[in-house]
Amino acid sequence: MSAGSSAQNKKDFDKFTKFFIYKCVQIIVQSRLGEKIKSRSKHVSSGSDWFNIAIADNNEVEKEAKKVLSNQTSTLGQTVCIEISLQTCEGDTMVLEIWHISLDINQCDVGAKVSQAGYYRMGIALKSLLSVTRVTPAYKLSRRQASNDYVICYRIYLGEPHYMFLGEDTNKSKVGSVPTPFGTISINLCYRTKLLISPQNTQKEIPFEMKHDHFKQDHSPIRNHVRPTTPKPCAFGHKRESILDSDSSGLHSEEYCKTTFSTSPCESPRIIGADNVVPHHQSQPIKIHLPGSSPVGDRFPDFKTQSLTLSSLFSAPEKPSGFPATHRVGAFAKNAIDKQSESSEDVPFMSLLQQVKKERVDKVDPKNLSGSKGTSSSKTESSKADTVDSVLSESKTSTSSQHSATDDFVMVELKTPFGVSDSNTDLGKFYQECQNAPPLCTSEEEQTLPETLEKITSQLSEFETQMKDFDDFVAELTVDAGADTSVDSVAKK
Amino acid sequence: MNARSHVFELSVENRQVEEVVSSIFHTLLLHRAYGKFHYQQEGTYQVGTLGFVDEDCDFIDFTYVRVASEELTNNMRREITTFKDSLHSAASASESGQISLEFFQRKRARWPFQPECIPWEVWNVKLNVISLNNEHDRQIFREQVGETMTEKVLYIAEVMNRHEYLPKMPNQSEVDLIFDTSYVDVQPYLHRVSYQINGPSSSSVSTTMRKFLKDTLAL
Repeated sequence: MSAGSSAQNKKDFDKFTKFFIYKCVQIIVQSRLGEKIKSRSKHVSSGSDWFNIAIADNNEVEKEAKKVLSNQTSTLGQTVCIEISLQTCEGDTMVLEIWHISLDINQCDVGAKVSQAGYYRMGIALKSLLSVTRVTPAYKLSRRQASNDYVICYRIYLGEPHYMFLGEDTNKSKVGSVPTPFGTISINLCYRTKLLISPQNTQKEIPFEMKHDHFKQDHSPIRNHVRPTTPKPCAFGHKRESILDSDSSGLHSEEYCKTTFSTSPCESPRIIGADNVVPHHQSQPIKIHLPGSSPVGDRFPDFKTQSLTLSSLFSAPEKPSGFPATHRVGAFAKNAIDKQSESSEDVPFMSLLQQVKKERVDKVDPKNLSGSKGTSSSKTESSKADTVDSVLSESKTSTSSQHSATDDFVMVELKTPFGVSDSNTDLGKFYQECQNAPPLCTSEEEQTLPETLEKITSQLSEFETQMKDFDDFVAELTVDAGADTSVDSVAKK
Repeated sequence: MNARSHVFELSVENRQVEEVVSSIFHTLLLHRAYGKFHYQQEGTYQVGTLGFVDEDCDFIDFTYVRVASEELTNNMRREITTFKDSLHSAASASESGQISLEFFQRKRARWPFQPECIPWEVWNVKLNVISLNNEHDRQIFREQVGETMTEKVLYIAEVMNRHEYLPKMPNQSEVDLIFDTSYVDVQPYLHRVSYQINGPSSSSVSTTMRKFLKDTLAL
């Protein structure tokens, strides 16, 4: 190859490589916008259709790429890295993948002409990049991004890829390769594989698994690494719309690929940076208030993760829960709570329980029965179902003076099943006496647990002392049994 | 010269056949297509711009990129649908079949010989159709097939970037020997789709003869 053609080759290499990198960045960033892309084939290429592929140029992205590449001393003297990360509403960041373009000067294709073979190979590499950008996990995440949930950001930098930000489980893949006389240009991908994506993103929580201290900026060694450029959202304030689904063949290709960026940023201002991250205030964490407990935000002003909030909530309630304390009194039994409530003044609803006790005594009183008689006589003849209904309504009437509307205890005056409504008959009285039978004496002798144990212990010690007597008794029984059998056998004879 | 041959083997549900084959074939065609060639002076030409379209699959968790050409897409859909219908109507209990996308170049006819079609790259997709009983299994399988397709696309990218043999860019008189110039908006390499359905009734000899006659008549 002559010197002149070599110089032209070098010039073409520098120029083509520069635009190759620009187009790679455009493809990667545009694939993370969160929408399907459609560009139109053109009969004749225009000046911006580098490598004869309709890849639109987003001005913001191009500006960013040019700014970074201007620091290069020579063409691909340093590896160009495009980092795709996810940023949540709270300002936490997770790097998802790193695409890097590098030049290996040790692998040269001397015979290749950059202006033809090199150009076509770059085109093939870009087509591979187009295909591969749609198959990584980050693509699926980007299709579901929303400004009030998380957004996908990109960052371009020079130098070695920061693999440590990708976590432990990663996959590496070679996407494209362009052999040239000046070295082989490679597009490589390294992406995070450990992502647990929730299918129902109904809660405002991070839809992937993270370690509890993953984003502790003070403790993570990763955060100490200096990151020269800050991540930028791929779609700043972008709303995901499938705007290109319709058939609009009259539009120019740039219009299809043109990325729409809203001029106003996200609704609550957000400073994206390594050290100065302002939490997103718009989306509030789910707050669970226990009655009597203070709100979450007061106790945990630095709310970070949902799990932290929930664990704190369930660990230290300040007051007992406000569940209504219902106590069912068994039939024929004395209300044991009364005894306990007498001993403890802190039992809630103490007064109500005492009221119930009073009402149970009153229920037997015929005066009350007569009071309810008037209302019950207006009812129809009692069947079982009607009786229940009438009883319920009567109880409300008769006890309304004693209970407030919010009381949990409702006195129900039971009527004799299949009987007449008048409870003053002998049968009715008998039935009511059976219902309110006096407690058994044994039930009055209720002992506490220590007393019971003490009693059992004393019984056991007593049995131990009398063990010999018991043994003698058992022996007597066996002797008697033997004597009986001998008597029986004599009788039979 | 022997054609490069690549084989993909997958197990899919019947409803996934079309999308799986489309994903692979369109990814291949994207790499093997250019914009329209416009020849100017002798030995010089201009190339049009190739557009691309993202396509979401309905039955697998996958998105692929295809060439922005409705005509090419319709042709491929017709071929793949024919294959899918044949696969579905196969009498065998275990349905399996193979569909191939073959890139070839023509050699001019020289008397008394017929023009030849010489394949230089063949991509075979062998499918084993399974049926699942419940929706839970289908959901899991859907994701698995999506992951499998990811591997296939990465493999295609790797192969395409080896930059192995490609037909030399032709001059205007020979462009029809290398490229399919029937499309208005794009210009893929000459290619064809063929398929065969595996079943217990088909014998190897008859299948081979049928294929031989078909190939001969296709010339």
